[in-house]
Amino acid sequence: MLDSIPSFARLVAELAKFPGIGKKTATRLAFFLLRQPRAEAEALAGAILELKEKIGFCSRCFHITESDPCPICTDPGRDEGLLCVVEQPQDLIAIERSRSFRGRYHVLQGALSPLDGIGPDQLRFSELLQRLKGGAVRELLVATNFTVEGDATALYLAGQVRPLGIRVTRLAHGIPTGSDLEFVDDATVNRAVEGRRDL
Amino acid sequence: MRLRELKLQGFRNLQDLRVEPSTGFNVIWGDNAQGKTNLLEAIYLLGQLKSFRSNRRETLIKIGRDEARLSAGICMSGVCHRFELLLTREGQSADIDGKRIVNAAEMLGRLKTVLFTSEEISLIRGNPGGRRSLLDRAIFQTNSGFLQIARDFQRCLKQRNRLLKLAAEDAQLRPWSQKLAESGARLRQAREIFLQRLRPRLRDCYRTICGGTEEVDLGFSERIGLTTDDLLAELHRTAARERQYQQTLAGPHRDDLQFRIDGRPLKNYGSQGQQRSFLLAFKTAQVLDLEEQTRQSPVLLLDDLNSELDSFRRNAFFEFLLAHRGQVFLTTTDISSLRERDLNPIRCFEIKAGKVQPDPSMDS
Ligand SMILES: [Zn+2]
Repeated sequence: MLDSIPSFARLVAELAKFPGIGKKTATRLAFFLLRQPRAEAEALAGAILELKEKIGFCSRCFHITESDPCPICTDPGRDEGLLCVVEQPQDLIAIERSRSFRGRYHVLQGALSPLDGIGPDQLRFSELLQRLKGGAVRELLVATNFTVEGDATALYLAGQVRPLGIRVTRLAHGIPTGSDLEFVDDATVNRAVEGRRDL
Repeated sequence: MRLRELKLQGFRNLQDLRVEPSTGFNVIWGDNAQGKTNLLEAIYLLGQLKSFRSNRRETLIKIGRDEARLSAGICMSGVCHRFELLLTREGQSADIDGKRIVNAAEMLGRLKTVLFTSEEISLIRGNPGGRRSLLDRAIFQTNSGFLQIARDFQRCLKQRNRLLKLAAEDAQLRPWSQKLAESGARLRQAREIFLQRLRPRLRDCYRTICGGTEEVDLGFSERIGLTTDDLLAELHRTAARERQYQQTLAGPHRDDLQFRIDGRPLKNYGSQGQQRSFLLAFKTAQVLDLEEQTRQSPVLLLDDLNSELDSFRRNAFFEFLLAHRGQVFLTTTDISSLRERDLNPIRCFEIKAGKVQPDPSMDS
């Protein structure tokens, strides 16, 4: 039925490519855009184009940025001796949101997964080792995800970095704050018990 | 745990149906190949999200239909829930109380069933993989964290095997060996804990239900290490051969679970009757363990067991069933022998060419 309105069908098809958006939602969004004034549509189209034009990866930490090096890499108030490794830019943003870390970052842009053809060469590993050989870093905080792949990546990193005499730490995992023990899933409780510490 | 209502649409050869089972015994009877087992399979699917007969989803959908819809009202711990499973040729989706389940693990194993079918005899006789899966499925029912443990291990195993295929250097293999050893140790520990609980029950069940005087036991054929370090040492020992065969040769995926009778493997030394008795005792012990661990009675699914057992074991097993307070579904071709037993409360469903008709004469 959309075939008779090709421009509408085209927009629906493009919107339906978004993660988590099916054809139904895409149609609703398309109708919403149709009702919007032209200026709104232009603002949206402009924002999307600007994103593609202005944003690139920082050549030092590989976070997304508009300026290279990125503001985090050039911020003089951060501790050069502390480097946090994450898988993706969104992980970095999550840690920044918590305001708990005042060092610098390195975004690997993925995790090791031989099944997907991802080895160290497909990630930003050699760039990381170069940075570490610069000598300023005392501690490497590994904040890869708590998946099988994230853990293996952390172990691989530790193996490569320890010979450099740099302390390697891993983000702690366990029960989320503010949650009742009884509602936490078994696997999380399991890991929290295994990772228990002295009081 | 009780099934209060079962609705099936477009499932196997069955005509669309809606039944309200008895809280006690439900006898599904009729000639062979009419669809009796399909009804058990539907109940099993709602708990396991997987059939015990076929891995191919399209065979579950009735010929000429686009989808199969399974729906059940299930009461557990005093609360009734609606479980729905939609099977299409493209995939399956599940709802509980009208809410879509995103992670299958949320639904998997909520409805606890224990299946008794003589087809599983082939697992006792076959390769170790079948016996491990019999054990792992039983463990999962009592320990929901076990699913994640097993999945993590399988994932590590696949990743590591890929690296071995690629002949990757040791530095790349090492982190996966470590993760495999960690997750493998967790898997072995969970199995060991379950085996320790099950063993005494298995012996009791074998004696009382099967009447055997033999000593039965189950366990791994060699002493297996339960720590990460043990597993790392095993991997170290097989390292050269792993490189040659390009796959992981040590770990819980290779452990040989033996079912033993008087200390000897049942697989090679047991008679057919002993193998049947062992399976019956294993399942009965599993039911008792599950009741103790979860404080709920699982739904028992018995597929044509009557014809498999001699009169002694049949009598003893029915004594167990009568003492069991949970719901039972059983299929049979021979309803007359069941009429003699004091099964109560009971409902009977006759199946003819895929059509179910409750038989009022047997209702009580
Ligand atoms: Zn940067």
